[in-house]
Amino acid sequence: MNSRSRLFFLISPLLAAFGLFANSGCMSTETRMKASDVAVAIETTASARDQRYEQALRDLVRQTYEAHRLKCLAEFNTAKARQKTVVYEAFETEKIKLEEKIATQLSTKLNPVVSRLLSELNQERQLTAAGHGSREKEQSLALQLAATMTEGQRQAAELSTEATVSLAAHRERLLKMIDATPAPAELTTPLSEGELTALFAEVTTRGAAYRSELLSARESLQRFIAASNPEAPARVLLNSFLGDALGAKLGDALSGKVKGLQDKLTSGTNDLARKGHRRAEPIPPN
Amino acid sequence: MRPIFEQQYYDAIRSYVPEEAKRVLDEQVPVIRQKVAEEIDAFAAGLTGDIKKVLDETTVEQVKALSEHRGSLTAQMQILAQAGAGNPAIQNAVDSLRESLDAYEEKFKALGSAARKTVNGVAAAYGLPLGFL
Repeated sequence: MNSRSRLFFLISPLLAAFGLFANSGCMSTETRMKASDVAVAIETTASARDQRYEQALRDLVRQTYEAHRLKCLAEFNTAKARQKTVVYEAFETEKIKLEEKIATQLSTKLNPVVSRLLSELNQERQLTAAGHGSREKEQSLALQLAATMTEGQRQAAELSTEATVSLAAHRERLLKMIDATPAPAELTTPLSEGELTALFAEVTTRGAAYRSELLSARESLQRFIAASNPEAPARVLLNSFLGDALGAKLGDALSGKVKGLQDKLTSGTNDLARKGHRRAEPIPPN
Repeated sequence: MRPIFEQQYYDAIRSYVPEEAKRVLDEQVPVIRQKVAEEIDAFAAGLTGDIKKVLDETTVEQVKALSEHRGSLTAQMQILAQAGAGNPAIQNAVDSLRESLDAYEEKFKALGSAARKTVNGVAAAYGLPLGFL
């Protein structure tokens, strides 16, 4: 074993440890990036989910309100239709009532005449049957009685017809009035975007605050992740020592150097891993 | 079934109606006609009022029902807003983390500033040209 091989034999564990440290440094950087990605993913997922739920809720509220508005409108229109039925029934009842009233009133007024004619007719019939009366007078009284009753019937029918026509005119006017009764604007107007926004004002405000908190939490976590970089304290120190611009420049340069050194050590360590177990091979000079 | 020869029948028999009956009919038919017309007008006016009242009540009732529904939605939205608000624990935790990070950075900043002051002092004492500090 020559002196160079001996020297390598002595320092190889140290190099291996340093290589491991360098590798662990790389792992830490990757891990930090992954941790940062996790923080971003949590915040963006939660925010997007929150916004999707809010949108779905807006749609649901709009649909619920619309369903209720249409139900109320249907109730109103049903009430109108019910009132039209009420009108038909009421007018039919009134017509029957008036027909009876006309017939009763007219027959009451004609009754004295009819009663007298009936009485005279009966009397004449009895006389005729006894051979003292006049068949011609009897027939004349019967004709007068029949004519009075018929004329009374005709007049009552005419009055009833007039009443029916008048009732029908009123009924049509009333039906038109019902048809023309407008549904209130509240029942015919869908929920506007502005009203929906007003309904959601507090949800939106609080939702935005919540998302802002999430974003703030994410930024804090990212800051923590960045601060956990072993270079971070050195950068802060350099910045406060040299000023922000110069400190940053020097920090970047140092980072580059450290990275270059780490890469070389990593490469050396990997070579060592490949060949080092033979120990006889010297490491290539850097 | 409509009576046949209705009009001819009435016309033919009209002349046999006794004068007394004719007088009664001539007097009473217009009176009854007037009473019936008044009754119909009163009935129609009464029914119109009733119908208007029912429609007005229905309007108020349905508008109120819709308004109550909207009120209920508003109340539910407020409950939801309360439930959907951020947890103060998040803000507290974030504030606490921020304070810790500030303190951590402040420590190194203080160290850097102290070093800067020391180097500046030494440079001034020995007249070294360290203008960038």
